[in-house]
Amino acid sequence: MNGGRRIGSVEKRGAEFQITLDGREVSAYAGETIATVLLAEGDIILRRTSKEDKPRSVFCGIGICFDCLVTVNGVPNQRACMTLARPGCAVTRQRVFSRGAGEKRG
Amino acid sequence: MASTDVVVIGGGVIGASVAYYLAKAKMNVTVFERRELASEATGSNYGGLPLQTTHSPDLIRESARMYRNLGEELGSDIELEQTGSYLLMDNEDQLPMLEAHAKEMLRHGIRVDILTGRELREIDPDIAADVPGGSRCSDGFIVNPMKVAYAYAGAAKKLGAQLQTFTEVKQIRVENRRVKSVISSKGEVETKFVVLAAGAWAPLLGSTLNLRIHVIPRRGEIILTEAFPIGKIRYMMDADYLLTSSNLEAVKTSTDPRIRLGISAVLTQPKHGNWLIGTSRDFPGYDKSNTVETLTIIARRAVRFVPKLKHANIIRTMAGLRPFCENGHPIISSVDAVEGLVLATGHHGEGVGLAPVTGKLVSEIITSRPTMPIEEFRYEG
Repeated sequence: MNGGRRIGSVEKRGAEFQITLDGREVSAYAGETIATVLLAEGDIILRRTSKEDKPRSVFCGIGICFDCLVTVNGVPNQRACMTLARPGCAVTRQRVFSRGAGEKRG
Repeated sequence: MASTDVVVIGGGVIGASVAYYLAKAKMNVTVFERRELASEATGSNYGGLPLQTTHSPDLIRESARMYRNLGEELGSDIELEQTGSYLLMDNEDQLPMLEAHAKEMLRHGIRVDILTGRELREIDPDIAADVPGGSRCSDGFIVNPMKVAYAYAGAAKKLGAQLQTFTEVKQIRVENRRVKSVISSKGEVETKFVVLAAGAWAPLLGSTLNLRIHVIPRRGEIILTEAFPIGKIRYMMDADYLLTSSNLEAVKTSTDPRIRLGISAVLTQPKHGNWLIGTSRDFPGYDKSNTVETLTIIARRAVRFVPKLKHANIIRTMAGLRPFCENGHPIISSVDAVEGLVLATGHHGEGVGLAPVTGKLVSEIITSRPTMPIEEFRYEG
């Protein structure tokens, strides 16, 4: 099984299971956070900023910056870096809120 | 002494609208605001025109019509969004009340559809599974109240109005039963007209002229959450609103602490994704502090209708004092005892909704004659 961008030489991963990213089924391993799975899949742009429409992804990775918010099983604003992947969980990118085009900066 | 045609007292959404329509009618206008624009009830507000809960249907229909191109007219985005408005039932027993209310609204030209719980959840799966139904007014919409006030004030200023913020009115001087001047913390201004648009504070200034203005401050506490992207319905109210907003007898005699505090849920989600969750309606005088008891009941009530909101983080709470008039109508009126004085207050929960039409009517009272019947809104003393 393809482990995505995971380091290949690590032999002892946790048990493999499936989760979905925006409906697409991917493998995850016990002990991985959702952020880990996203990074391993290379599918890293999680949202765009409301004012300048710039991409955002996992930034601090330790629960401080709140830049990696995703919706998990229908509950929004979960930090991907602090939330463990669990068998069958559904991760979706969040609806983007943006200002009117007239108010966009830059 | 400086002089002007009209002094407007109050820089909320009503005063700003009054100033704009008067300036547009070529009057010299000076606005006195004790603090910053929109700093009282206008600034602690989920601004919307649900339409289906109005107490003044003729006025609100005209106001809604005026709102449609207001942003364009004022040259400023007021964040108007055509969300529709929904009243949600807590239990089946409310259905007759809701149906009767929908019929009554239709009689006044406001279209309301009754929906089953299943129909509601087809529109928005995040509505609680045990909500048995509700009503929808597709013409309802939300605006940003602060932006409306600033847009009106900015446009008035462009037309020559003077905005004096952080200026407190000390006295309205009357001579021979006629308005003569206004003394503020910055001096005296001679004026032909005074518009009292000071919301819940209007009675205090009224009493200095021996006028009894039957308006009392009614506190509305509101919770603001982080941007929380759920749901399709972005403007919903508890069907109990029909009770808590205007049926004081039911509020006073209820044994339920929620009803006694006048609490029914109102939820709006403006474009940035945050949820504004209100609100209470109690009578603590001029106290606008937040209370844990009230906020807790408001939050519980909101979660009862939209369970996922229990995961949302609260970023701020606020409270505003609505100018409550017991007969449910605002006062938009000249005053027999004092020539030149015009009252524009008592809008309760409909200040933002009724701001455009109120400004227009006050301008018409002063410069010509009202283009709508306003007997219902007359000051009776």
